[in-house]
Amino acid sequence: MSELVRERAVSFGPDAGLVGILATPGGGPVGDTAVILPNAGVIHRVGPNRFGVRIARTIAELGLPVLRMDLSGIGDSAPRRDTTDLQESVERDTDAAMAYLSEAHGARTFVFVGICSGARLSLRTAFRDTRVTAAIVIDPPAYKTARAVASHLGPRLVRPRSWRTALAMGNRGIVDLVRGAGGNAAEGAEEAPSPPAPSSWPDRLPEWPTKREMGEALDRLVGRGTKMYWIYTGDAVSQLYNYRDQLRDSFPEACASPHLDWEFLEDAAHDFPTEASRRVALQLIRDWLAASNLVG
Amino acid sequence: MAANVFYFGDSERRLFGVYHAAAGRGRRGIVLCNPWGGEYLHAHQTLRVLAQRLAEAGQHVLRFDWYGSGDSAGECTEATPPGSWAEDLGWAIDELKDIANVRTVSLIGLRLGAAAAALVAPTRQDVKALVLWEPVLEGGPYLDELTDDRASSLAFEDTVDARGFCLTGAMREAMATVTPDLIGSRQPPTLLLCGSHDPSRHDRIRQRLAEAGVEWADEQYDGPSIWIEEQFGSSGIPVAALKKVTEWLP
Repeated sequence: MSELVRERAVSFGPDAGLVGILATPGGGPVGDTAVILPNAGVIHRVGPNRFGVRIARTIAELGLPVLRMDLSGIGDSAPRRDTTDLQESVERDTDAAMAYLSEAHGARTFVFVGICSGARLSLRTAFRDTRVTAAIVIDPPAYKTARAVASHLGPRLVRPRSWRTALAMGNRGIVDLVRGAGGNAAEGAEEAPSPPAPSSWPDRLPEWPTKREMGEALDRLVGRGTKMYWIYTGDAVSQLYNYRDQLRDSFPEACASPHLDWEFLEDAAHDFPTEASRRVALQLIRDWLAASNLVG
Repeated sequence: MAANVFYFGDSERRLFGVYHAAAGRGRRGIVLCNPWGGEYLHAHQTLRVLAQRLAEAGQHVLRFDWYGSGDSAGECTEATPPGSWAEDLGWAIDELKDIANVRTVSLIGLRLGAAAAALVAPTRQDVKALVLWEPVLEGGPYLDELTDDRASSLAFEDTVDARGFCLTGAMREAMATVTPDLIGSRQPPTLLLCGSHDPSRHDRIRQRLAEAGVEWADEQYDGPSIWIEEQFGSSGIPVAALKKVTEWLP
């Protein structure tokens, strides 16, 4: 960590039960925007392969305070006692983080940076709270396009072994082969992956939005000027995101907006296990923040 | 209960810690020594639960992150464990004694953290007990495990990617020197705690403990290897291991 960044441990929220690490620029924050990094899955606040720490320090070096936080029940944060609903719990946690940064550090607007489930949470928070003026989302939900399906299926359909396996499994095997079953991100069809939670759309973006819901959400977000950077890696949703402009082909209207940028890191794995992939992603984040006028 | 999180150490070596105060009038302290790299991430929840249970049983506990790992300052490439971890552990022991007002501590080391604990324990009179939990005390095989062809690739210069973390040449040199000979006659009473699958893999450590004349106990448990990625998030907490630790500690 450079001398430009100072880190301290903070507790906030109900009964100070939420834990985070606040990285602040050594020379003081630039402006009144703060950044929040929620957990990626059940990994605690350092992130997969400590990538969360690198992201936070990189952004803090650019002049923005960054809070890496543990959601309730993850890492060192206490479980919530005021709700058992997961979606409500994470919503209250992110509200608490924003309240803390507002009260303690004068933040008025926020940037969310999330990986995987953290990416979905970042989009949901941006959707419901206009104080979130930007989001960097890594491996958010992906949506099939004809080209993505063809890219995925093509090599399989010409491989004799695929057919042998499919035939051995009978009708189900052939159906699965042709449909390209696999992966767990949102389908291009209208129904969400099972089991579908009660949807609170359109007030709240669901955890796994349908393509229609995501399209409408993106339209709303770009319409209000929310800046977004969507980054996909090559393996997390590789069966469903396999070329750079798949996002544009999925949501052409939203992607025509200058507020929405995207990137496909084909050689990076979901958890950024290599130093090379981490460095590439960090540079992209630096460049995007600078180009978005979010940092000096 | 809200976690007591803070930084300690000095300005050149800021270390992150979590203090679990003892229930009641606890007079003993325990410092937990993390494993390296991805194993640390996967074991985090188990070690937190262990710390909570030990605190409920009347022990003051400090969990902390080695320099260059977790939330502590520094980059992964700046450490050469387990040797460089000895300084961090010294800071952690002093910090726990100060905040908990205890005079002695026990050390619990998991995997490579056990090597650091074994290095430090005989050098300090305030360390009264040592738990070696699935210890990595043979650096060569451990490095082979970290750098098998599937898991590693060259990152830059003499550094390789090893299961998501950078392994520098200096680190590999330091780890390669780890052998059961770390265990000396001045080791405090020691618990060797291992999973019940293939217990013979730690026979060299057992032999060394016996040779060194250390007062030691040998316990095995049925339960998941929580530092392994494939079991992370799905295997639960190894309650049998936690029970054996809690029952053995003085």
